[in-house]
Amino acid sequence: MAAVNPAIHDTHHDAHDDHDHKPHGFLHRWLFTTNHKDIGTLYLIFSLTMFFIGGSMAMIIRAELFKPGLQLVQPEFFNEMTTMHALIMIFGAVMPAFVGLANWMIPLQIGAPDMALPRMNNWSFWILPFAFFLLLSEIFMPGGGPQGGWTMYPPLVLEGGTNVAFMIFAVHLMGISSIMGAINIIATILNMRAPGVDLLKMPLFVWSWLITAFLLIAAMPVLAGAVTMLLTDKFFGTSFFNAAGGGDPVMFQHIFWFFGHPEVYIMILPAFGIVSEIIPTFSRKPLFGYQAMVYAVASIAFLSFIVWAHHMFSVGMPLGGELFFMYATMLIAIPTGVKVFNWVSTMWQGSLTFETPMLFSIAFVILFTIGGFSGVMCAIVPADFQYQDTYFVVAHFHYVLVTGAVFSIMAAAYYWLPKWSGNMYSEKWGKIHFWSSVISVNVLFFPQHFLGLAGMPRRIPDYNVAFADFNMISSIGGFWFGATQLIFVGVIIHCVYYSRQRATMQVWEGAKGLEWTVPSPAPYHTFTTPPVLLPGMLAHDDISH
Amino acid sequence: MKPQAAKFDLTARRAATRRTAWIVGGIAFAIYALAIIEAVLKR
Repeated sequence: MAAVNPAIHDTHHDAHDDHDHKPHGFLHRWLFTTNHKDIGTLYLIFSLTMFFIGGSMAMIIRAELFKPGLQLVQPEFFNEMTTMHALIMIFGAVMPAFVGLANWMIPLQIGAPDMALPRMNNWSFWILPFAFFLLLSEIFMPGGGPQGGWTMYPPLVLEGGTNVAFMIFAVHLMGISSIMGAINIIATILNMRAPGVDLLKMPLFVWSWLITAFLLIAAMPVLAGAVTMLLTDKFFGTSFFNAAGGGDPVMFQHIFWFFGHPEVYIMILPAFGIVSEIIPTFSRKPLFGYQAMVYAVASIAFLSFIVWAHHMFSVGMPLGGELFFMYATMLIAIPTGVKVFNWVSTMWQGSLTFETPMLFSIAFVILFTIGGFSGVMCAIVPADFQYQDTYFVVAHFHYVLVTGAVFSIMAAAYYWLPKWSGNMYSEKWGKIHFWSSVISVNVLFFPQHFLGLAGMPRRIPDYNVAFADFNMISSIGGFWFGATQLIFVGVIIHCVYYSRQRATMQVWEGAKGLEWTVPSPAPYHTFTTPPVLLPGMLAHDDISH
Repeated sequence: MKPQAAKFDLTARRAATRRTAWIVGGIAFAIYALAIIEAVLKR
């Protein structure tokens, strides 16, 4: 005990010292910041901005598809919109949102004073606005932006002009940013945990991010290699993917999807972590099967590297290859099923309440599972020959990424907003946002399953009149879902600037973990002295249950 | 429970942190190189 007392004294001393020490001046505070909370905020604001830019492009796509025939835009511009929408939503909205949440929450959850490499953290963020400025500026260039889809398949993508160079440079910058972010997260989690926060006592969000960071380290350089080769093929006369010069365009697809499939999990594993934090809190029960959850995330991460060719069944490969990738893909359903089972078991006989974060988390469990089921359908080789490049695939990955990744980000924003801002958001408007989102998102994406099964191809601005009704319903759902997200912005602005309801330290009755032991809003500097862990302070102190 | 450190000794952790960062960054760069080398060898 004698060893502990000085630490407690130091904690108090530091808490007094901590009060602020924020840098003065807007530029100094935000441009040169090395503070994990400020950088987290920058990431989250950037991500929300990109969500609306990418969302506007989705609105253009859905407006054009409202009726058969060409109404509003030229086919070339439509193709730019599908390409840019995907690139912006993946690299600009979803990934930075998770990195922002990681920046804010990982040091708080492991009792660290900041990220391990704070200056690199600043650099990781500030690369991104330039990358997306490059990418978005292409729309205004002669010849427009890239039109070959976010997958950048040669030879189609090489038909573009200067936009190819801009796109590749932008993708390189995004990759560098992600890799530096991943290095920082790994170094932080492995070296900066407070004494007593053992690996198997870490919150699930931290675990899921540790594994995601390794996925980033393994996957992003492969994308960088692929686009570097595209660049040399386009501008320096090489023939990596040019059949006329002895190259192989299908090789690009293999390399791309070796990155691309882990990328899908990069966008969903942190979501698993978030939901695994929220469901126990609002069930007032410990997470069911903590260790199984950790091993399930690790298994999914491993399997993500041996399933890439299920994206290209119809390209042509040996039967043995198709069988291998089919069965390997189906295997992923096992650890994913473990997770869904554990979330449901956590809720089972819990003392449930349905605040907005919990509503988004429950919707996540149900709707992500629908996306998972259609994923298993796509994994079946003969069936996939039917689904390939149809709206069924579009419906599948939007269920995974919108009702999966995006819903979890919204759940996280509602869950931790009181800790960030010190104020409670409007529960009434949060619930309106949720119900409007959850209904409209199904109106938007569910009919796309039927369109795909009926044979409507993806990435086309015009279609057969037979597809008219479901497209109109889908577009109405799209406009509704898009407009609903303005409520989200309203709730955040109201919470941060106008809410009069102050958040307590613990915020939620059932919340456990180190982030709930610091005041709300979290002080500018936290845990300069490591926290003294008391029994029951960590959510997973006792993992025997 | 492990003994409680009075302060985060960032200096002591700096070497370990840098080592982790260089190893992980090195792996990333090696994978980048491998992707291109593999494509060259496949041609």
